[in-house]
Amino acid sequence: MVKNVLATSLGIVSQFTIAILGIICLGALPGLFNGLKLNFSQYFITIKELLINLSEPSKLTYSYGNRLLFPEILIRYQETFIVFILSFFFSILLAIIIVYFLMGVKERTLNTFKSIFLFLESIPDILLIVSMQFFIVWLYKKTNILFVNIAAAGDEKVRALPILALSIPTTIMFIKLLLLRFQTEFEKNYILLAKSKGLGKFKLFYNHVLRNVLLSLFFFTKTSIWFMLSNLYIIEYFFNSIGILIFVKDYNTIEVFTVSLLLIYLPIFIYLQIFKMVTPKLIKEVV
Amino acid sequence: MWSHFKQEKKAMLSLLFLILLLILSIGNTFLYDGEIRRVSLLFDEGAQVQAPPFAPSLEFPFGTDRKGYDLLHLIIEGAKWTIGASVLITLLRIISGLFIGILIGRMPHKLFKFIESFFDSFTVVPMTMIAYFLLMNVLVFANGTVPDPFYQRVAFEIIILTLLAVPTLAFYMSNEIRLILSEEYVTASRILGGSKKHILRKHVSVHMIPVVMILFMQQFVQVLVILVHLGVLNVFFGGTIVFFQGDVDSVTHEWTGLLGLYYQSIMGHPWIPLVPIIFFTLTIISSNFILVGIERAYEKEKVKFKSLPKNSEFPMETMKNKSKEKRFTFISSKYSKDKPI
Repeated sequence: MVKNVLATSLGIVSQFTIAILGIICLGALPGLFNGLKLNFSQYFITIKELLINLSEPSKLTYSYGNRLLFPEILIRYQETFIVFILSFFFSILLAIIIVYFLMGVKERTLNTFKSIFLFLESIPDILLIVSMQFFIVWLYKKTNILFVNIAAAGDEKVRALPILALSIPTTIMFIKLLLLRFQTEFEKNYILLAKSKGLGKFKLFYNHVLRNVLLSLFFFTKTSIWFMLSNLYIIEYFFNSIGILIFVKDYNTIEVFTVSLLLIYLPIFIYLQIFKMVTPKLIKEVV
Repeated sequence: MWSHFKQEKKAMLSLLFLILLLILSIGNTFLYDGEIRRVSLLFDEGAQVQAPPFAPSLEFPFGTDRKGYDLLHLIIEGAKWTIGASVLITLLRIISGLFIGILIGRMPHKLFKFIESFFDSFTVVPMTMIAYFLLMNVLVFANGTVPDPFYQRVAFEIIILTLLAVPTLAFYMSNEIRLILSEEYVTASRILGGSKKHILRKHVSVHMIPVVMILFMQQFVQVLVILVHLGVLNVFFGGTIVFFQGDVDSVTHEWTGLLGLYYQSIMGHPWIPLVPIIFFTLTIISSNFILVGIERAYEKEKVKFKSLPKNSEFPMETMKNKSKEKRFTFISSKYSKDKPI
């Protein structure tokens, strides 16, 4: 038992070290290009310099070496994190509610909904963002009330619209995933048994299906996280937020990029590892 | 497959739209030498002189930009660059992904794990962010400085956008191939003396073709979205010229450039940036409809197999479900193996 735990934790640590190595090699890539030519010796020098710089995080700077990186980047990081987490849970909740109602409709109506989702999914996020901003401005012109801020100025924080803008594509993605899972789950035998015992629709949905589906849904979070972060990048740009993704864009030096990548990657890695460890136990309890 | 695909009306219509757009665009270069209709002055009913930009009207269905160029004409001229480049990038991604996927699939397990962990950050970090970070240093140049030649810059951008997707694609493909190789009929074939080459050609490739086609459309959409994002961030395909006042100009007439150039005028003349955005949207919607068409045709093809009496013992039902699940495990497909439920 102890040996087993030791082995897995060693595996995780080595996996993490290799992944960090990958991030550092990725961050140092601009050093590889001298104009459009490849320069490998320069690349190795860049990696070495980057490693030296990273070993003293408190001395890292941004904006042409004028300001210290460290407290600032964490503030930005927190902003992105809040928007991300809020819209993640909002989307999941909304998707579950919508799917609950969709499970009750007929096959044909469901197909219509599926094409609508396909259509909505195809709309690029910038069109979505631009139309949202137009809509708010139009409302403002009509009613003279600015419901939410459409863009941040200075150190202001805009959260409502970015969260909404991020939630729309994310919800559609979750609905798509959940519908498929629910449909396969509802074909299983235990559902038939529960139905024959006279369980209500809501109880069946909430007590049995949702539990099994949610666990498997969380297995696919890597794709979801990637998808959400890609959207969030452009959303932060449009709403002029002060998140970390746009911080990387504005100050795109090698150090800022690498530190940000590490900051983004670390919690996701930890989350996935914990999930991997905990799930088998959870599943046993459910069964 | 094609006969089933023909029955999908939406997909056929979408395919027609894309082909028409490309033919018009290429035709414009050959017939008009890439010239674009331009009106610098117009007289209205009261004989008043009006200056561009003109709003959408009967004469200009999509309006004109600030220099008086017809936007519809600009879009058509640019279509071949944008769509062509996206197709090229997607093709390169798929081919190199497949090639490397087969290669790393044959590696020993420990090395495979090492490479997988090394590229793990690629699966969560937004591609636009990495692409912007790398391209910003190379493709943006000041007016008057001597940039690298045009074709070199384009080649660089294509290579970067290809390489960024190769790790995830390669792992996905090698997992997919591994799944096929673990099927019973492959074992049977091997026992009967089929060589590696034979199995690859007769069994793996047959099952990989639909997977590759679906991946192709997915990647095509992804490339388009990245190009849109980069365009908005002022990194245009083929390079950005930065003028002294901070103005920017694009080198070709492709859509991302149009989008990025006109984005500033969104509040004043909303139709100018909206036209390229709408054409991007139409292209993405068409591609998605084609994707669904291919998927449905593929499912029908399977059903056809199922109805054959010879294969009635074949567990198609389970396979069908499996492939359905697999499609959603695009990046994290490695978890599907130890799927708990």
